[in-house]
Amino acid sequence: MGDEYLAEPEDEVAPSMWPENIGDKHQKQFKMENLGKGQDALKDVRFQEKPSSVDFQRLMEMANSEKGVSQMQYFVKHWEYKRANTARLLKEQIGLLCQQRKEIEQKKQQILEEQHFQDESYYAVKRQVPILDEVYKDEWKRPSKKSDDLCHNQELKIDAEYDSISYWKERAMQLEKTLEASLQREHSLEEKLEENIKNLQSHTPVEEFSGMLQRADYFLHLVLQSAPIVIAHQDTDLRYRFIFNHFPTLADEDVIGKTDYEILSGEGIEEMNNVKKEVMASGIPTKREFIFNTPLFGAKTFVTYIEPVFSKSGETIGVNYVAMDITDQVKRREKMADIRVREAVQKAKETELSRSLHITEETMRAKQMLATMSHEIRSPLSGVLSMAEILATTKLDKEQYQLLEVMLSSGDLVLQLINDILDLSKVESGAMKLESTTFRPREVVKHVLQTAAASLKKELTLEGCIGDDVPVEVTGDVLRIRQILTNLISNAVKFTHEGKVGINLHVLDKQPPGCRIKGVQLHMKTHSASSVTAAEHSSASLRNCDKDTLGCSNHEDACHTGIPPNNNFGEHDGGEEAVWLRCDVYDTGIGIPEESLPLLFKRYMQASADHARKYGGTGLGLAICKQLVELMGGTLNVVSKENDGSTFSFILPCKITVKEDHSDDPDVMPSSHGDFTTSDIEGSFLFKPQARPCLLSSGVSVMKNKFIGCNLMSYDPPNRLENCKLFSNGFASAEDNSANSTSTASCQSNGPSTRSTDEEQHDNAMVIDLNRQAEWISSSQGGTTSVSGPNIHEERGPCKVLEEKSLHKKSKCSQSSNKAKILLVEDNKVNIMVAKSMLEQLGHGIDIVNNGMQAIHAVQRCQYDIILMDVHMPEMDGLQATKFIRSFENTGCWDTSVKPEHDQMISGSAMSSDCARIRKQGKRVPIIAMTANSFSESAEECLAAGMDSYISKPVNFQNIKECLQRYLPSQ
Amino acid sequence: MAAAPLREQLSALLSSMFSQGLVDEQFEQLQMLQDEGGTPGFVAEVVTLFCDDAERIIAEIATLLEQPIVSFDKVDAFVHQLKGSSASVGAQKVKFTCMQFRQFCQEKSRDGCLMALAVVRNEFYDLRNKFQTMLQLEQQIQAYDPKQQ
Repeated sequence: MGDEYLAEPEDEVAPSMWPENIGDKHQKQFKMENLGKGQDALKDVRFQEKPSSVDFQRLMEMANSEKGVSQMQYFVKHWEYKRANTARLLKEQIGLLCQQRKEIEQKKQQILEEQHFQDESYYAVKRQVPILDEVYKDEWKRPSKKSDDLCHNQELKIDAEYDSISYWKERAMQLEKTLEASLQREHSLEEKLEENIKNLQSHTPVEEFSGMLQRADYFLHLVLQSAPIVIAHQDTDLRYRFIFNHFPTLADEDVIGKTDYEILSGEGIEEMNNVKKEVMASGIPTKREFIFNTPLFGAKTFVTYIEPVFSKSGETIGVNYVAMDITDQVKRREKMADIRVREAVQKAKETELSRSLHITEETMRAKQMLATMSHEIRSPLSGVLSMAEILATTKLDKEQYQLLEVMLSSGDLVLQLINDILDLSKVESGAMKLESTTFRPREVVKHVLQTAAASLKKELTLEGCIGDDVPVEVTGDVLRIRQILTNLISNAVKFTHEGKVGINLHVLDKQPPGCRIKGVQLHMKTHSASSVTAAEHSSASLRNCDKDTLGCSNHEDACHTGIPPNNNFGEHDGGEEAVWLRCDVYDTGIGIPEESLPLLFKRYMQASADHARKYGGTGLGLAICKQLVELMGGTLNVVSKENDGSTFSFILPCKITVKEDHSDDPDVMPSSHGDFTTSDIEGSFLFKPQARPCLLSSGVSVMKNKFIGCNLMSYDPPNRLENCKLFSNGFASAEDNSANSTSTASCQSNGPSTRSTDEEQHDNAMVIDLNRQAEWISSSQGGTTSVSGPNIHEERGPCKVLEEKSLHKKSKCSQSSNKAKILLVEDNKVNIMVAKSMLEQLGHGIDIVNNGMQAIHAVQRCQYDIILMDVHMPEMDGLQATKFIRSFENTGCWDTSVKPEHDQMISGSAMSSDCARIRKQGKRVPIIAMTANSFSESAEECLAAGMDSYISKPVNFQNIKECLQRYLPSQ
Repeated sequence: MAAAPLREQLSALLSSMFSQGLVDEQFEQLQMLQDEGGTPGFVAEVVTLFCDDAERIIAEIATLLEQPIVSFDKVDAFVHQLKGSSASVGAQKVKFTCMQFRQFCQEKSRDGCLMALAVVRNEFYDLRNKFQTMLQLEQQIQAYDPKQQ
């Protein structure tokens, strides 16, 4: 029907007559007007299924709504407009027709007039055809151009027989025919007009609407054909009144008139209905996403636009909604979000990681820095302290002495602190190595107590108690054990104001599992004999160990001297047994609050901030103790009660060395040793406070620190030396070695006089001992020397140092009389100048070269007593040069394979230096590294390259002198 | 007689240098070497040498750091040299800044290096000024001394 309607204007005048722009306004809103052209397309489309379901009654109701009214108004307007247009067209047509008619009439008039004239002329001749007049009278009324033309033609045609009767007849007939045709045409036109008018009347607005609606409907279908969209209208009860669903799963009748609940069940329905109700109540359109999970179509997400529908009176009469399936999009979106979250987490993790990495690096660096700095601080500090100690031996008045005392004790404190830091970083980095030496636990305890007593400034009783079952000698790292004990005791003393502090040492009855103890066997007699060698060895190694901690570590020396005792003991492996020693350090001090106990062994932790203020200290001591004990395989515990003292206990596994009588010590007199040994085995010590005048004890503490290398020498050899330790330290040997020097004598008389008062109470035989010990030292040294041929230098070296030091102590002017030849390898001009000046002042001749290569050349040309070698140099560094020199010393020829380019020069000089080589071979030139102590130059590397020792830069008078004294052959 | 205030001035300058940490005990050692070794002018010699050397090194480092591609190893080597020199002379502050400088070198941070260079330069010029004053004072004192004696 619509098609027909559309077809009409197209066929008729409309396309030409209809102004193009007239429909524009409407076309904008009403696109289907264009559809006229697409008629064919529409015909092709077949709406096989009619997805939409409509409740038409409801449509009427909806039409009554405001929207419906406006829609309707629009339709009416449109229809009126169209009608007006049609009317105008018709009027135009009528006007046209009227004009035609007029023209015809005019023509008719003309013809009639003509006829009349002809008739007159005719009748004038023959008045014979009046009948026709009547007949044709009407006919003439309908003239036409055609008929006119025809008439004229006919007139011309029949001109020949003009005025004959036949002519007239013919003519009449022709006219009649044209008239008939004309009439017929007129008739048909009239009919058409009538029909048109009738047609016009049949296009009522209703029909127009339905046509339009239908077209809109088709159009919508076309557009929405493949859209995954559901469009629906629901009334106030939320019953479906209309639904468009492209993929219907339900038939129309299943949906129309029903609610969501009746159709669907499952997740999301309730929510959607609530929203719809909300929209109806509020009257505001909304857009939402709903997640459905229904048995009907599974899990799907729809975005739904819901708008309320109002009646004319403004009441809500239902809702329209458009829903679109966005399940895939939602899935994708969720995936994206998930990825984003994961990314964020990853990023956060990364930053966290890099931060912690950074912190770790920083910490490591800080630790390294601390260790390095401590090391750097320690060398000059030890110099200062040594000097101060020397100063203490000179004549001072009381005030000066007291000042010096303060200076020394502060210096000691700093040194202790630095040692702590270094120890801790050593243990932590795993660089701490334990040295196995034989020692006597009783002595260790006694020494520790003596040392503590010496520096005691309080009214405290120090006591030591050692169980009878404790072996006389055990093997372990005595230095570390001593360090632990000293630390614990000094802690105990620090926190105890009155009462006593003591050490209990005994063998643990219940051995920890996994430790075999066969029983403690004491070989007293054999001990006394063998202990001397052991002690001699251990003293040597201990000296080296201690130097190690002091910063001028000499591992090689440690090896040389430290290993022999081990080897000795190694022979008795079968006889070695382990014993667990338990050591309690108790005090009657302030105790430790319970809550602080867990923090006690942590670094830089003290029981409380108050304590730190009151008692000072860094809180490193206990941490070090614990780490050391654990390093040795033991445990450290504490039992404490506030205001009731504390007891620190540690247990350590120690090897008992069971030895047979050594017959290779003929120089040692067993009997004399026996005396000392028995006196040493006593199980308890007591140090009473009142016996110690302040000045004296401090004087002792001064002595204690002096030249620690020598100091320990006198410390650790059992029985004999320990007794005189408090006295003289280095002095014992000094006396022996430079017995005829008057300065020594005077000094000796000076020394004991200051301290003998307190010592007399304990050891009356002390002064006598002194001499005997001195004798013993020289004899035992002589013994070792004769026995160990190849080791003669190493063995004797330290002794010489000892001598020199003691000499130096007595007379400051002791410069080496014979010049040593020194090779200084250094590239820094300033350093050269300083070092040169120092060495010259020491009275040595020096050659200077600027890099390792030159150093090798110099060694080829000349023989040096010592080489001071910078590590970091251009061309060839010190390490490499040292390696080459060492390899030459070992093999007798310079390494050609590694550095062929130097070979020519070297081989050239090699001939001339042949004799020098013979001389040199087997003799090691001491090479001392000069390190800047930076990360790239480690002491280990220097030693590994074959250097004997190192001194840290900047080179100062003290360390260069010490070093030379140690390594230069005796004058 | 006129040397006395100069001496005072010198010792005040030296003690201020020590207390500010410009120089450390190593410098003391140099002085000791000079006094005990009987080598007058030793400190002046060393200090001059150090100043020339340090200035040269600083200039070298500055040139290196201006290059489009900085060779941090070279810079590091120079800084190491400077550190060695300053340590020998006892120029403590310069030495410390050199230590920091080397860290930046290891991190290969150009900005850090430039900053460190500025610091080193500052410290060095500061120290050099002091050294120059010191040497001048010493010269003046020496100028007096022989006449007096």
